[in-house]
Amino acid sequence: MLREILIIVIKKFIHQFASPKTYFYQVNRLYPWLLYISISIYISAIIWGLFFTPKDFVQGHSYRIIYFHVPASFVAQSLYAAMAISSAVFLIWRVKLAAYLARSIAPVGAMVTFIALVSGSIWGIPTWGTWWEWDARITSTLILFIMYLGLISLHNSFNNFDKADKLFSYLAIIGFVQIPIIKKSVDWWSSLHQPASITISDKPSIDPSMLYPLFMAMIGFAGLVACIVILSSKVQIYIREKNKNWVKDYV
Amino acid sequence: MNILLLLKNEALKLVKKTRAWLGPILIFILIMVAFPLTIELTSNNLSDAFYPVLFISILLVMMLATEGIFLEDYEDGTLELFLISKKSLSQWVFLKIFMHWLLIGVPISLLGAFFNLGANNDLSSSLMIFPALLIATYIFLILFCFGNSLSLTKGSALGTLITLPLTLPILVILGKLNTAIIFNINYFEFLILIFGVLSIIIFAFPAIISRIIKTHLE
Amino acid sequence: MSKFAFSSISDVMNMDGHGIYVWIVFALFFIALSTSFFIFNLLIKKYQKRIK
Repeated sequence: MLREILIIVIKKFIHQFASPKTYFYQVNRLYPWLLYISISIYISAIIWGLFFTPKDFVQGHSYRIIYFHVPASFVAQSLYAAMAISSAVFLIWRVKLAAYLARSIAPVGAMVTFIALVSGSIWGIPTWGTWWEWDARITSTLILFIMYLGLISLHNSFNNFDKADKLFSYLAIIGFVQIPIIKKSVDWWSSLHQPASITISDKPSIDPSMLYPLFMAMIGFAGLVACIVILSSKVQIYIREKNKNWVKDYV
Repeated sequence: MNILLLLKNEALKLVKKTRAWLGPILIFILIMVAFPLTIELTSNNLSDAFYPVLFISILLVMMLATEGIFLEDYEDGTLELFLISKKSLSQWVFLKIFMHWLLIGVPISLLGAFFNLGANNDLSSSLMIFPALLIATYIFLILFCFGNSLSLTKGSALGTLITLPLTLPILVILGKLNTAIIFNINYFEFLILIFGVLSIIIFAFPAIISRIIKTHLE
Repeated sequence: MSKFAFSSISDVMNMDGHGIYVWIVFALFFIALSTSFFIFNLLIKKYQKRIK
């Protein structure tokens, strides 16, 4: 008896929160806080990283690109994971909001992957002497970029949003196999790309004075990208729910 | 009995469409015959360039072989029949892919091993490449079928384009296999690796493809 | 925490010859982030207008 009541309450809560209306209002309240906090964190991390960290012994000053490149590539993969998870949520529980979120993450993910790739190649010029190398990690990040574009083009080629959402979700989930491949590619194949500086299991292979601004930059960049995703999801809600009364009232 | 009947049906359907199964094989032969012409006669790099060309051409040929693979069944109502009659759609998808592999993948693998004999003058490397080609053609077929099912009514170009990135990890493993064959080390490890990939997707993907087709029919 | 790593402003710009790479990446990130904020805000305005 108690269990059933609990299930009903949880279901009600999820349905309440997962309705685009509630999401919209909550996000509107959250957005300015998130934006200003993450902008201040990111800017202070960049200033700290660019001006107040010591010079790297091997790479010289060009290692300072790490404060841009690593957060971007980290967020690019995390965004894909988030997209795959929300696709799965959409397919399993038919939560419409999850489909909107997945679709709104795709262009942002493409943008972030693109700047991660470009910043990586610019970093490659002074350190490796080449701007592009067909090694595993760079190639798989490029595949991630193509994957984002493919997902967007798949979604755009269907007029029926429900069908497009479902097909999008299937492809996003299948494409998720690449994330572990990208993550592990540096360890599996010998390559020019250096192994990950920060891992969960080991001690970081990077000096603390360089590590703290990197962490801050990661948090700040993730927050900024979350803000962009919020804006993008608002656009999706406007497109899909344009005939709903609450949207008209809100506008 | 039911399975055999379905298999026979699929085989008859495929054999009747000569272009669908003979076309890819002929194109494969054409690529294999034509590519030595693009290399200088005096050069002895033919064997170096052979494996990359072989793998890329089987990728492209499998892309051709799956072009519009579900389109005809979608248009003549076979797919809806499956949906109504509660027969297993995923079983049918599995059999269809298997039939395509039998009629297109196996001959291409045989031809690939044969052309390898011409390029490398080495029977043992031909025997080594043959099972790898059998597995690789099956994997590519399954992946491109997945792409085709995604863009069922929108033409197969979109579907194959968006699944192309998924095939690249397989190509990377095949590239490693190429080195393994040349230096004769770790060959079986890579073969088992792609066999493992195949053993996962051979049953998982027909189920996913059937769900996608059901989405299209809704 | 740490000391200022450069001795002068021109040193900051130059960074031992690596400055150009660092500043290009900085500009890239600045432009990409600000344009995406700008574009999505523009889109929101556009759809709001359309709903009105």
